[in-house]
Amino acid sequence: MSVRLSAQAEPGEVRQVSGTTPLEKVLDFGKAGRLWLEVEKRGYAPSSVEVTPDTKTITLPLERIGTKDGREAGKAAAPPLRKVLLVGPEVRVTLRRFAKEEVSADQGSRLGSTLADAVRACYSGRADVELLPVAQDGEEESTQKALWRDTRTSMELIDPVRLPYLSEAPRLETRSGRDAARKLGERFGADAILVVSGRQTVETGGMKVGKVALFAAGSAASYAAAYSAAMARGDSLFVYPVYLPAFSQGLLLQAALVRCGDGEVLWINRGVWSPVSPDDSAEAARVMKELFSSLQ
Amino acid sequence: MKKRILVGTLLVLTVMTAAAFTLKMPPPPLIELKGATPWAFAAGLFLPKEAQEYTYALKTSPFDKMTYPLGEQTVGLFEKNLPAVFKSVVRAESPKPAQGVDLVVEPSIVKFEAVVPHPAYNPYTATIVLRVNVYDREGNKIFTQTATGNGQSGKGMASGFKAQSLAAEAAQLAMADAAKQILEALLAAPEIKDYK
Repeated sequence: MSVRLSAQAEPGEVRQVSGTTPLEKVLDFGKAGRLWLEVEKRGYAPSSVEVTPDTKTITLPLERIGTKDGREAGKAAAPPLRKVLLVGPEVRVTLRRFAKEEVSADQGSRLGSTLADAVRACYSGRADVELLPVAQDGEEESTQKALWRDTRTSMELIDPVRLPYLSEAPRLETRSGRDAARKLGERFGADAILVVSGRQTVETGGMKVGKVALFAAGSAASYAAAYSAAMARGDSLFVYPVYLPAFSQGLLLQAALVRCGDGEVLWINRGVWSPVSPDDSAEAARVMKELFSSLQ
Repeated sequence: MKKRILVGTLLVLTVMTAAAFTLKMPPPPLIELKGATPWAFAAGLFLPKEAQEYTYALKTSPFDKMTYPLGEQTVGLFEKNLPAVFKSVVRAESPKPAQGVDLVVEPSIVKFEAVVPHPAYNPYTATIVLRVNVYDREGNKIFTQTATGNGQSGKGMASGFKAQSLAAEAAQLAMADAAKQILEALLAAPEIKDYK
């Protein structure tokens, strides 16, 4: 069940609550004094209803739907995975220095290797994991890019909580993406492809010292001077800390599991953690364990 | 008393008007596409008027609002880069190609998110999801590709003095990232390869 603020669902919208029923939650009906509850179940058309603070009981009938080939949706049981092809983990590491930011390819590569080892450890005893070698050019590169494009967008647009309950199983968007999953599966003898990607932002010593200096020495006079200079440039965003930053330092990871045979997106998850050192395999293992916690 | 209220109201309105600004985004970049050979088709680039004028407004404080001119940037980005994918590109007025045009490409913005940080020295980030639909001579959709792009920008402790340009840069990086994937997808699409 999920709770929306509008009657029509928009792509990529943030829902107030998503979870499996029974769900207990105190809802904020806002100024409009109404919300929409949506119930989803695999194989059934989603059903939503408007509710107000006065609503006591609601009944939502769910209608079964069929797939394009006439089968009932959501019927096929997924066989256990014997072999998983791992793509990535590709992590873009940005070092935030005192007066600039730079991307560290070396740290990104090392962190990717550490996280790949952690993925193998997570799957140990459950399925074989093989790392897909990154292609640099030619048809193989084109195949990998097609898979990557479609999976990356799935990770962005599909709500991980709602995925198992969507009326129809989502698949990779393009024929190229689905063909890529199938070809790679056949070549490596894999049942599914696991894509892990993310970005890490790390504040260097210079940046940390700068922040301490700002808080220690930031007088009204210096603030006023800096503020005036910023305003003179038409920049009214120079303000001292008021709100917590959305994501200033840390590791953001996204992962998706795609079935090779038909490009069905089987599982998705994402999360944010404190920065992980490329040399800290124990912390990488902890992060991966948490990322995969919802994977059956 | 009335005079004070009037002056106060005018002051608040002046501050709010002054603080609502549209980002000046630099001209869209030319995207590098390794070994690209354009398809031998004349393509029409179609963006409905509302899509061309689409802006994203981000409230950065109770008195500040930053507006991203995303529609204008999308038009520029595809006008500049689509000729690397098709032998000729003209503007189209509808999804159905006009005389002499083989297919129509329609980009759209599915989702955009940006972070203008507080404190101002934290990273400026943006994520965009772009989609293109391609239509054949009858106006039927033959191909769709959706792509996600990310951008991050920052100048460390000096970021607050360049907030507008950093926010614009993050958005433009995200758009270029997504557009590059879409252009690569168009160059590799079997649906376009098989198109007669």
